[in-house]
Amino acid sequence: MIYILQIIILGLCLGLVYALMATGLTLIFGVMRIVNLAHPIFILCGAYVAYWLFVLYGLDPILAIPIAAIVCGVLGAIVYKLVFEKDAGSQKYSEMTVLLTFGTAMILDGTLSFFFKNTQRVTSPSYATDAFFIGDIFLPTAQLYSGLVSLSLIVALALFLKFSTLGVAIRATSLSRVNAELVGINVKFVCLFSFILGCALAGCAGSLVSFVFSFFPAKHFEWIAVLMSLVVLGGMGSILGAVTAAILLSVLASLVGTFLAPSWSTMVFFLALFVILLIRPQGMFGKYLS
Amino acid sequence: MNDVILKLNNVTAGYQNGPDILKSVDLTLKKGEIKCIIGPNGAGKSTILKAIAGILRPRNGNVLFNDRDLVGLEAYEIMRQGICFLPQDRALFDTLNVSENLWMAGYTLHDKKELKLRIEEVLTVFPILKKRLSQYAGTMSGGEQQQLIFARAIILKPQIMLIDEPSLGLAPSIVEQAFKHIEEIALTGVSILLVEQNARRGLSSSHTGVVMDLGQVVFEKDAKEVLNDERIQELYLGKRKSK
Repeated sequence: MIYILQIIILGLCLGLVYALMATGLTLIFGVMRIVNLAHPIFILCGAYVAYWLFVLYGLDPILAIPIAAIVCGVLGAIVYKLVFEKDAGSQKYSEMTVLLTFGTAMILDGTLSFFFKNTQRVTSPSYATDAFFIGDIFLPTAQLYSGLVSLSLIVALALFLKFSTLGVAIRATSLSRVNAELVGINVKFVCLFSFILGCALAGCAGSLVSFVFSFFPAKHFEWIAVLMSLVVLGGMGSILGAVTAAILLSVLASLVGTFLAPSWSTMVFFLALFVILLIRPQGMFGKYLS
Repeated sequence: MNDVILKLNNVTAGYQNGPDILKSVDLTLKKGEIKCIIGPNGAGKSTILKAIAGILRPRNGNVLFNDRDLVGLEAYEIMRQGICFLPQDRALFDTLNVSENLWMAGYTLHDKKELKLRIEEVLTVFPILKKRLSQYAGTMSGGEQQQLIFARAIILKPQIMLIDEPSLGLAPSIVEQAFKHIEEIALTGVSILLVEQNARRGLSSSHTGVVMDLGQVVFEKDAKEVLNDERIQELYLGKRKSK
C-alpha cells in the first residue's frame, strides 16, 4: 500500500511540473489559436538560462526562475512580433501557426545546438540528490521542490486569470476575439501579453525542468508530443483541463512504469490521446471549436 | 434634438475582396434620436452598423462623430469615443459570469471605483441581473441575456448605441420589453441607430425610418410616415396589394 502511495506521490510531483509546462501552451492556444509547437523549445531556453546561471554564478535554479521567465518572455515577444502578429486575423491562422511554430522551433533548436552542442546537461544544486522521508515514504527533494513551485505558479496564474482585470480580459478574448474588441479590449495587446506570459511560464518550467530531467537541444521533440497529448486530453485552451490531464496521466504513467516496465510509461500519454480522440474529441474540459 | 451627432458621408464598404455592400451611403443621426433602418435581406443594414463601429473598415468616405473622422480607428478606439455596438449574435462572453461580463463592459474605464458605482447603478435598472451575478451568461434565458446586453452598453454611458436586430430569437413579450428599454435609453439623451427585421415593431418605437435597398439609402422620413406609406408597405412591410 505504502509502495503504491509512494509511486502516486512521485507521479504527482512530476505531474505538477508537466502541468506547468502545459499551461503556457494551452494559454497561448486558448487566446490566440496558435498551436505553439515551439513551446518546449522555450522551456529548453529557460532550462539553459537556469543551467548557465548555476554553473557560472552558482545561482539556485529556483531563484533563477524570474530571470528565466524574463529571458523567455522577451524572446517570446520578439518571436510574436516577427512571426505571428501580422496574420492574426487570417482565417487559416491555426493551421498556419503549426508550420510557423515548427519552423521557429527548428531555428531555435539549431541555435541552441550550435552554442551548446548535443551534450546531456542537468543542473545539480545541492538538494538534487537529497531526499526526505515521511514514515516509509521517500521523497526526492528536487521533485518535491519542483512540484511545489509548479503548484504555486499555477495557482498564481489561476488567481490572476480569475481576479485581475487583465486576467478576465484574457479569458474574454479567448472566448471571442470580436466580442472582446466590441467591449473595448485592446485585443492586440492582450494577445501579445498572453504570448509573453505563456513563454514566461515556459521559462519558469524550464528552470525547474533543468534539475528534474537531463536535457539537450533536441529534447523538445519528446516534450511537444507529451505536452500536446496533455493539452488535447484536457481540452484545447483549457488550463484546468491541461493541469488535470497532466496530474492524472503522470500518476498513471508512473504506476505503469513501476508495474509493467519504465519503457511503457511514455505510452500512457499517447494511448490516452488515442482514446480521448475516439470517445471525446473536444477533450475533458473543452468545447467544440467552431 | 436638432444637433447632428453622427454623419456618414459617401461611405462605401464591403467584406474582404468582395463587392461593395454599401454604395456611397449618406446618413445622419441626431442627439436623442432613434433611427430605424429597414430593408430587404442583403440591403447592407447590418453592414452600416459594422462600418460605423469599426469592425469593417470603409473603403471610401468618412464617418464623422462630433466632427471627428472615425475611419481608420480600431473598433475599441471608436468604442472609447462613446459609440457602442450591440451585434445580433449578442456578443456576450458565455462562460464568464454576469458580474465578469459587466466588469469587462467597463474595461475602458480606468477608474475602478467609478466602474463599481456604475455597475451598482445598472443593477438597479435591471434588478434581475443582481440575482444572476455569479451565473454564466450563456446559461441565462434570452430575455435575461438581452437585459445584460443593455446593461453592458449603458455602463459606458455611450452617446450612440448601434443595435443590430434586438428582437432576434426573442419571445414577443421579451421583444416588447427590449423596445421599452431602447426607448428609455433614448430618453436619457443617447442616440440610437437600429436595424430591425421586424420593421413595423422597429419603426413604431423610432423617430425616423430609413429604407435601404441594394446598399443605398432609398429614402428617409419620419417613422410614422414610413409606416403609413403605401408603397413601402407593399415593398418592405409585407402588406398585400389590395385591388
